[in-house]
Amino acid sequence: MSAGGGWKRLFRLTESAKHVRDQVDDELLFHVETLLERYLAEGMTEEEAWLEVRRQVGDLDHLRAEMAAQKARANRSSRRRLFRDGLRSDVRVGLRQFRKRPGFTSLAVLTLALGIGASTTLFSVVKDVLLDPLPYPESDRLVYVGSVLRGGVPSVFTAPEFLALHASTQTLESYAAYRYATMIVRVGARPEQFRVAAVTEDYFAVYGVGPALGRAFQPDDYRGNASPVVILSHGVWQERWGGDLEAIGSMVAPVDRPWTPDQSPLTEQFSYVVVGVMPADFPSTADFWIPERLTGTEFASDDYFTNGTHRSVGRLRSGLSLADLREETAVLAASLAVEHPEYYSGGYFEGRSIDAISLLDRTVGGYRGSTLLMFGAAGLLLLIAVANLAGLLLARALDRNQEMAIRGALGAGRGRVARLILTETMLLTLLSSAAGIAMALGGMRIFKLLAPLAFPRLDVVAVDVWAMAFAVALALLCGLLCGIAPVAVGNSKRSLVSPLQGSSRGGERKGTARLWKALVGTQVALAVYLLVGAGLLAHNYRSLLAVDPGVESEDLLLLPISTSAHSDTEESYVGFLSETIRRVGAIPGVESVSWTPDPPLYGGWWIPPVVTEGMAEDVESPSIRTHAVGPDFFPTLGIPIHRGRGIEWTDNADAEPVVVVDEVMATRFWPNEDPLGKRLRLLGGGKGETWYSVVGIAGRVHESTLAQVPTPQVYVPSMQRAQAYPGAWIVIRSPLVAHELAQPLEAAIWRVDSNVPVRSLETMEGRIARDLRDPRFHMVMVGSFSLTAVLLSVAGIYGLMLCLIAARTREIGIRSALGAGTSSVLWTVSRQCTWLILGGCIVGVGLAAGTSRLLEGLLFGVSPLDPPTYLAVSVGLVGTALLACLLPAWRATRIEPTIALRGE
Amino acid sequence: MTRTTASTIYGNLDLLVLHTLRVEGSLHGLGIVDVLEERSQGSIQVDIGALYRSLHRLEKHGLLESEWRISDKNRKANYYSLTAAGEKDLERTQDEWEDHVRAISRVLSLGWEIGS
Repeated sequence: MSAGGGWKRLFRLTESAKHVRDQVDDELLFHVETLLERYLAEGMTEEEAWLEVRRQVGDLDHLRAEMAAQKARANRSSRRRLFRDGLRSDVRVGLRQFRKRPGFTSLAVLTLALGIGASTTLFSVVKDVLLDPLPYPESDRLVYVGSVLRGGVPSVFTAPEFLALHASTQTLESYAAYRYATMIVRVGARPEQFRVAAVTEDYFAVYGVGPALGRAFQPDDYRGNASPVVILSHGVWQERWGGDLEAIGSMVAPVDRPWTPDQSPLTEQFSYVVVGVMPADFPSTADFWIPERLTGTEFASDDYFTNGTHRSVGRLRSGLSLADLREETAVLAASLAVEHPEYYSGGYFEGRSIDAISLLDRTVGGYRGSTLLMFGAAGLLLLIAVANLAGLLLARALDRNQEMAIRGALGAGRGRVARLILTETMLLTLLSSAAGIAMALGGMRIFKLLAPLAFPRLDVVAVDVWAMAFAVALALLCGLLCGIAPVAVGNSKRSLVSPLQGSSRGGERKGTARLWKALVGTQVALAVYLLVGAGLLAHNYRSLLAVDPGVESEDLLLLPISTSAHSDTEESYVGFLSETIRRVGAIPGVESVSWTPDPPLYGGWWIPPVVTEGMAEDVESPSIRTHAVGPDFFPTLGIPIHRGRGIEWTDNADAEPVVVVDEVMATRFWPNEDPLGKRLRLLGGGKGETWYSVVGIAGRVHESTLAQVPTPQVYVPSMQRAQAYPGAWIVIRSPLVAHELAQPLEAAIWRVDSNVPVRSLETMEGRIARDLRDPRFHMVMVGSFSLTAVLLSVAGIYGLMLCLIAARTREIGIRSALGAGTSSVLWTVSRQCTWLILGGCIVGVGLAAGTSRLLEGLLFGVSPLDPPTYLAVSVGLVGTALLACLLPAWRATRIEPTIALRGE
Repeated sequence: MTRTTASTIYGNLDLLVLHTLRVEGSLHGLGIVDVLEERSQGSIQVDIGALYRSLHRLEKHGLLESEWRISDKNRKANYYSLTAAGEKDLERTQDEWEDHVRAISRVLSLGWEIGS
């Protein structure tokens, strides 16, 4: 057996059919000719010799054919077997390498798995939230239409505008309006509050989804004298009817009429027949649906065109696009503006129009940008991981030059060596994708734990088969990317020869080192880039944490309460609430109690135009956010009164009308005067002529979010100027925790009115935490990505340094032997790496500054170019990276010159 | 002198080929024929078709490997040699064969004793 024959056979070219036939012929020919020569030499005649050969060989042609066929068969199966065996041997070699170097293997797998895990998690979110259609047939045709002011996003709509579009639309196949109301139904002995959606005729047709049980609304249900009907949500059906089929035909009897948020009863009906139950997967924004017919006659009031409490959804005709609809709504708005100029121009209404967005956009809303941003961050992390892994594999390839050279000498071609290296890399990436999927499953749990409560469609987000396929595909792609460099190194002509010839590896190492340095520099730049983003988000979070909400949130509890049964008149509204807080105030442990329709940080306000003394009335009066609050409001919420007094029990209907303004209002309206004693009027609502005296100046509050800049606020005693809303908040200051108060609260309120539902208490601290949830979420997500990125890149620098030093041990030894000081050697060794780090940092900072606008929407009160953040990130990262670079360099200077010189 | 065609007993030829190659190293087809005839002093005559079928079969099973080389007569010939697997297989079949032969000759010699 010739030396290396086994190897050569493994790498032999595959044989064509013609080649096989030729070989058989050659073999037989050799045999026959040799025999003939031999017989001739023995003295036979040519004819005798031929006869003798014929006798031995038999039918030569038949033999040839038979042998060729046999050999071809053997060849085919052996070619398959060769490939199989080759692959199996590659895999075996690869696995053996893994076992031999568990440290390297686990590091490489972990590196790539981190990138893949992060990307796969965010991929799942992007796919399920942003890309997957809504759960309605042909949901891409669904649109949401509403009024816009000054180019905002459509939110609510007025009934007349809806009716106008409904009558004229050419682009919508079906179009419906709906509005929400609350309804109190007794469940057993307890009154409970439910959400009702009053919908026009085509509502369910727009979505293309009907009840799972029973029937949808019919045209008859919308007639004036129709008997009232209701459709249940799946949730309510399960909870209140126990999923009983008998629910159809049963009665729903609310204790009061349903009320809309703008204080009007929705209908005069007190009992409804259940006709249907919606399917479980119908995204439920309401507990009940009832039919409502809009005619336009019920809007013949003052605020015919201003009362935007409706919403509207439509289904585009097939083949038409959102752009067609938007064109139509713009034309409609223009023609309405001609008919009713007073509602489409001037002051508050300036720039009013009608616009439409896709229902998906409406659902996903503001989270699209931040989700894509996080996906991008995960992608960058993956990129860093790939660069890191490529560096690791490169180092490995250098280490294995010897092995590859031997394989080459034994007959393994370049392709064969490439296959071996790629197989190993692929094995590595497959392991990584498995680990990455595991990380994505864990990451998804963390994501859901941290995600904002309002994050859309969080219930359907999951790491599914597609996401897993994505992870595997990603891993294979990364494997290919990472595998190319080591293949190039391990397979260069020189490397197959030189290691065996001795240590002439300088030039080749240089090329590899250049590639590796580029990879490390890229990692540093990307890590800085990510870290700047994370730094900005962290700074943003910290500055939000530091925001003074204007109230003392500790021990502050809030109870939403339905006042719909008491909002007929201001007197009954105020009477009910005063009696309620009197009784609640008597509960042991309650320090102070009041009411307000719109507590700070909960949003919601009444914005009457305000006229102050000396201000001409015909001037465009500024609309100021005004709150009609109960007595003891300020001490209960912990809003400081800077001067004067707060609102007291004595500020009733018989007393002198008073208001408290906040400091923002005070400085805005009376910048150089004493606001106390100044008078103002709150226009509208039939009481616009009353003058109110300013009796106190309160601290500023954030009335809807921590991020927003405080605006002027006016507080008027509810007992003097109530807005009789169908709901209010009882605000309570008490050191008791919510569940300790629940029982006594119910008892106290039900002694005033046993039909009032008592919902669960909320805490102001909970409300503030909810506000911090979004920024915390973004900070934690991007922060963990960027810290991982830093870790990877620092590891990359460390690895590069070790390799660079290993290559220069001899040089270091010589320099030390020639008397070079420690610092000079240190500089020589770490110089390249230091420039690399500084260069990467500069590129990263430049990249971050250039694309900082991406973060703009997520930052409040922090500039996306915030210099301290950039500085801190740069210094922190450069410091850490230099440490990773200098530590091995410093160790190198400790090498004994003699050892270093002998080392080679 | 009886002349036996080796292929008449199935499997014998394979055994003989493997054995020859172990003893002689690598040989081409004709070389194997020559060795066999020489060793058996002409009592074994090899059918060429059977020989090449056997060679190719053994190669297919990985017991042999072949390589084109220049013969001593300066001609290109296909040389066969034993693989490690072939070596192992030969040991096994050789043992079996010897057991077989011992068993048969024991029976035959027994028959002769009874007959005598």
